[in-house]
Amino acid sequence: MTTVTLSVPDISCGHCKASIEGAVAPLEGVESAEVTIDAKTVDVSFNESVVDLDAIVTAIDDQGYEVAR
Amino acid sequence: MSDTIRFDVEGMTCASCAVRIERVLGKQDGVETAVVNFAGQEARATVTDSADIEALQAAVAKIGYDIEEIDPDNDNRSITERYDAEARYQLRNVVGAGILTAVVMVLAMIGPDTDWNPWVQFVLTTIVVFGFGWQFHRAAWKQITSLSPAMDTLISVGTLAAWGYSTFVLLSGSGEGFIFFESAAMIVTLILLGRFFEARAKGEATNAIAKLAELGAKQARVVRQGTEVMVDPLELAPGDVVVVLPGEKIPADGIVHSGRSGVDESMLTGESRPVTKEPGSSAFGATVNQLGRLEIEVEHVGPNSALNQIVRLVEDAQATKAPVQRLADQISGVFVPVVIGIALIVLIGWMAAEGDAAIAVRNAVSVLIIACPCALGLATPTAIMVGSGRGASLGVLFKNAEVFERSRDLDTVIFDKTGTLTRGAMTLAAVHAEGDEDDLLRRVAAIESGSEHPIARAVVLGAEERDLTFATATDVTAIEGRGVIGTLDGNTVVIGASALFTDRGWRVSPSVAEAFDEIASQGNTTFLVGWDGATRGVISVADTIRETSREAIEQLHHDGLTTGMLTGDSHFVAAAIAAEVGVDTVVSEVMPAEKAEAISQMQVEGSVVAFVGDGINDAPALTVADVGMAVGSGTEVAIEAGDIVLMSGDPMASVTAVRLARRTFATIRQNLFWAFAYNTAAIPLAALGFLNPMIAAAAMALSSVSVVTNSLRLRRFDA
Repeated sequence: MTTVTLSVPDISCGHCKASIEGAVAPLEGVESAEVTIDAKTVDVSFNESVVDLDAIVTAIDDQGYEVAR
Repeated sequence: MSDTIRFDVEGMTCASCAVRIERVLGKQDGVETAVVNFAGQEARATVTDSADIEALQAAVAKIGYDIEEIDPDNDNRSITERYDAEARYQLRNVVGAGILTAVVMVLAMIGPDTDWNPWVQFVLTTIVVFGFGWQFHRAAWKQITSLSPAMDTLISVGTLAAWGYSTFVLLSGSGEGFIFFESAAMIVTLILLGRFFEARAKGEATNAIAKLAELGAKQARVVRQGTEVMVDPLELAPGDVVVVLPGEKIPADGIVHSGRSGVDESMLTGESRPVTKEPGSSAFGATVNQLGRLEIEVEHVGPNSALNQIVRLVEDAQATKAPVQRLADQISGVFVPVVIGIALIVLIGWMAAEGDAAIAVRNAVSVLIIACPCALGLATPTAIMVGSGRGASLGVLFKNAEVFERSRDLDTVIFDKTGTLTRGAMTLAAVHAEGDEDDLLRRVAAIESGSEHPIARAVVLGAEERDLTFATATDVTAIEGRGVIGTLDGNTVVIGASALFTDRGWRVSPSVAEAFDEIASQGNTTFLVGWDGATRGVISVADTIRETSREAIEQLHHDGLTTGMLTGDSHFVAAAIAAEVGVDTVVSEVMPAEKAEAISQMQVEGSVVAFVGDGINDAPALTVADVGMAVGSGTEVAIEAGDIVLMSGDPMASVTAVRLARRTFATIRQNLFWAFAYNTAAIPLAALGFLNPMIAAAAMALSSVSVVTNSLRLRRFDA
């Protein structure tokens, strides 16, 4: 199980939190996804053999948020 | 071949939502660029033929927003009409809910004590809470799942608690038959009423951009292959030579090729004095050519022109303006967790004390029921309505509701100079004569009477105001940049710079020269006047300060506000006026873009800034400022860009506006207190199991009455 913290500078409101968590958490292999609004970060815990970081970043990107690498 | 499509966007709650939509649209097939404007609730995309509108809509829907294509023929529909539609929607809700609620109230309070009575209440209330009140639950769900509770959460929890508990009591026959259907229905109705008031009071959102777009010249006279052809200004290309006749608008930015004329650039710079243009000078689109013919080689068309830069600035300012979180939502955000906490404590407390689940649950739910203040929805809208109404009768128009919340922390008021603190037009300032002043003025007026130049008009007006009669001079010749010469009663009269006198061998008397220096040092435009071989006096014109400017600044200081002045004028003139009027800071020689930047800078340093302006060039600054006050006698663009419109040109109106805005906000705060007060006071009663529908109704009635009465007090506001 790997845990990664991604920086997403465009996060600004509760709305954004719901959208991002709603897009990442359901992915197969993702155990949890949590957005911290103040820090503009997303903490994701996932199983590396089932899903890779790129897929997670793509999910966030598809919602319209740019992930700072 | 690319097309631009415009969409209405629904569901955006903040400016970053706009960024998301932009990004998603930009990634779709066939979309070249996408720009989303949060304030205008609009998206614009340039697309190639392969773009599929439905695919775009689906893509945006996937991230939670709706877009509808705007029919180009219909797109004159302004934001006002959209808000009207919302107001009508809310009104239908209020009326529907209101009628049903009235029936429920009657049944509950004085209705017949029959078996079907509570069941009818149940049915009607269910319709009200879940039908008309659905918008609250939907919004509350979004708020809860993102852990940011606001007013909707409070309302939803309160009404569902009241409805749920009452339904349970009705079905199970327990709980002493206390049902609270009328509470639930009343809450929904009153909040809907508040929403209706708000929707109705929503002023026109900024339509400044549309107005700005209309300002350009409609036609351009281009020289193509030797002949003059009329074309649309947007079809000009860099390198084209356009001919601009006297009185026409310059169609694009460029360099003067030939010709010489004065150009009125006031709409870009705000300064009323015409700027001389000669070969090599830069000229700007949408400015007005005055008396000469100009041939201009085009440099910038469309997006890069000076006018479009102003549009861009306003758009950027609109997009980045953060919506103010309403005080009501802030308070609800704190209140909801506290109330739920109390309910839990009550639940646990009673379980521990009595071990009876039914009582524990009943009391916990009672807390939730009584905690929801139904006057909450009225607190802000009623204050705003009365405040706006009072403002209108005092000549201050509040265009949107946010301005009251923004005014709470206001600490600085900045004025544009020309047209706001000053009259904006040249007026006669000083007249100094060796001999008779009136005689001097008569001669000058006679020479200037034929000219349309602002300086000439100022002099003529000044003479007329002193009830002087004057003839019309003959052989009047203007010497560009130097002055004017004419013949009056056979005598030659010279008005202008000293070179005009020395050149023809006339004497410049030392006393007149001294007077000239003194008057010129005050920052005014000064001329020597002479006839019969020598100088005879001095005349000067200036952009005069309005009578009440000084006092307005004093009053603002009195209220604890810092004041300042922004102008495109020279440091010299600006300093003179600033000293006269008494402002704390002066920023001079600023271009329109820099005005907005100057305001931003102050905001970055922590100030909450109000800006008072009147011209097109003030639009960006008006939009960037926390509170933009447009002077009503100014341009339409400024009026659209401002949050407040000061109907008279009087600077004192800004004092009234600030005081009324602050007082209205204070009223909102007081209303919120009253809305919560009675209900919160009743929480202990509910916790201890004493809540009954009578108490709930009493709290509702008292809080509503208090809020409305308190708002009405605003009617008596006087600056």
